[in-house]
Amino acid sequence: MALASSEDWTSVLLMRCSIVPPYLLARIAASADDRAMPVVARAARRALVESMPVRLARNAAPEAFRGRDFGTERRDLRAATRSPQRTISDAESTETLPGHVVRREGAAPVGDAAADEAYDGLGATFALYDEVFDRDSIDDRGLPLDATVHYGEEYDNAFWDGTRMVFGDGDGEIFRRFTVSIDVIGHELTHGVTQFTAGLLYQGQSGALNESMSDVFGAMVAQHQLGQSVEQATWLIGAGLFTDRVEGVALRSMKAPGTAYDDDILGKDPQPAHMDEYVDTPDDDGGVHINSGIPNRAFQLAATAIGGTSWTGAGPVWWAALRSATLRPDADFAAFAGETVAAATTAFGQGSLKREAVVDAWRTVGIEPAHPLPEPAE
Amino acid sequence: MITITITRTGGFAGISRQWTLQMEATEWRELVSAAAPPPPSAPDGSADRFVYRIRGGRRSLTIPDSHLDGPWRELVDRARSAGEP
Repeated sequence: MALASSEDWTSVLLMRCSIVPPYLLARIAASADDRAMPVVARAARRALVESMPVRLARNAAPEAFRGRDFGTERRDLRAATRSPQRTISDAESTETLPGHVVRREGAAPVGDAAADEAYDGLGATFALYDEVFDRDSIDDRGLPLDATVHYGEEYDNAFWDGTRMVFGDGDGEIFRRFTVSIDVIGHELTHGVTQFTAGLLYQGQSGALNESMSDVFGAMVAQHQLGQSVEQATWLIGAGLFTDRVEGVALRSMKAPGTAYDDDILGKDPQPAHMDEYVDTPDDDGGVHINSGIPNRAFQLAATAIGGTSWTGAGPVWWAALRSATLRPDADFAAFAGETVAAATTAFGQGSLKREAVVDAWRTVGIEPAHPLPEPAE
Repeated sequence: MITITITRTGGFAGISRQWTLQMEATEWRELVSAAAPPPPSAPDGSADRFVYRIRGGRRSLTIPDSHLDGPWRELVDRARSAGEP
């Protein structure tokens, strides 16, 4: 698509959204009860997401995906016809991908817990992105959702291989199967979304942000499915993954990083809750699964201060930041924090309490939000 | 005999595991010289994958989960079946 036409769409979007100010949309979205006024609440949420500083991903996406994220045209038409295209395969305890297909879109449950949990979890994740963030799958162009279950022997992991989600069965002594926790499924699919949007590099602080995006949106998938408010939510990632033998409730706690487990074999949850305890290590791509605790807690604090539900309050702010054209693939915590503050300013207003809540959340974890750089195209 | 230390980091859980293995120094030297050097990093776009670091003597290799095969895979399997440290 030519540069001029994508910029035309930006101005169309801005014009369309200027009718109702964002802070009003936010109020409508938050106050319109989903059961009493589902259409109003949903329309306001959708308009709010669209009114965020939607910068076309051409500027932020990695080279391979540039020009593929112009998902704003024909939105209403597309939204009406959207549905996930799920294919679940079984690797039969080998490490050969993709394995053989056991369940396709629309097929009845197959009676295998891992396959059916993967199918349902991908459906719940698709629903969050579709209904709340108006995104049509991972790439906003209806990319099929492919997953493999029963990967490897006693395999203690779930991962995103760049094209599909892969789930191990666990060893049965420490870990149970990785499809057991729906936020794990949301976490893996979100790696695909991040790949197609900000393209955050999987190393150091940008890598920890990449991990945090997956935890943040994975937690929102679970809370959205359960209809939980920010107060009701557990803010745990991977609850139920550990067997009864492990002293721990989950793999990570977004509310209190470092407290999810403390076990004789596994040791203590190593996540820091504050920038002062940031872990410098060559392992784990520079501690991406460790230092993600810092931005995770910032989201939990902001979401709780803004109130309501995560996907109507802080969620759209984080979503706008992830899609910002000025967010670089090598962004550090301060740069991402700055993007969330910019998005909150647009959504809630410069002097609003909710914008202050976002600033305070980052400062509480020891991050001073940076001012976003001007967009290259402007 | 020398001690081979295998550290697995990364993965969704972010929990490091370590295994050790005793091996004849000549066998280790043959393995290092004969086995093709694995690529140092995981494929683009992937996330939550394990990374193995294998150390013996002065040599240290980093192998992504996606490229752990052949003699290196056998070595890791041997160390794991030898039991947790």
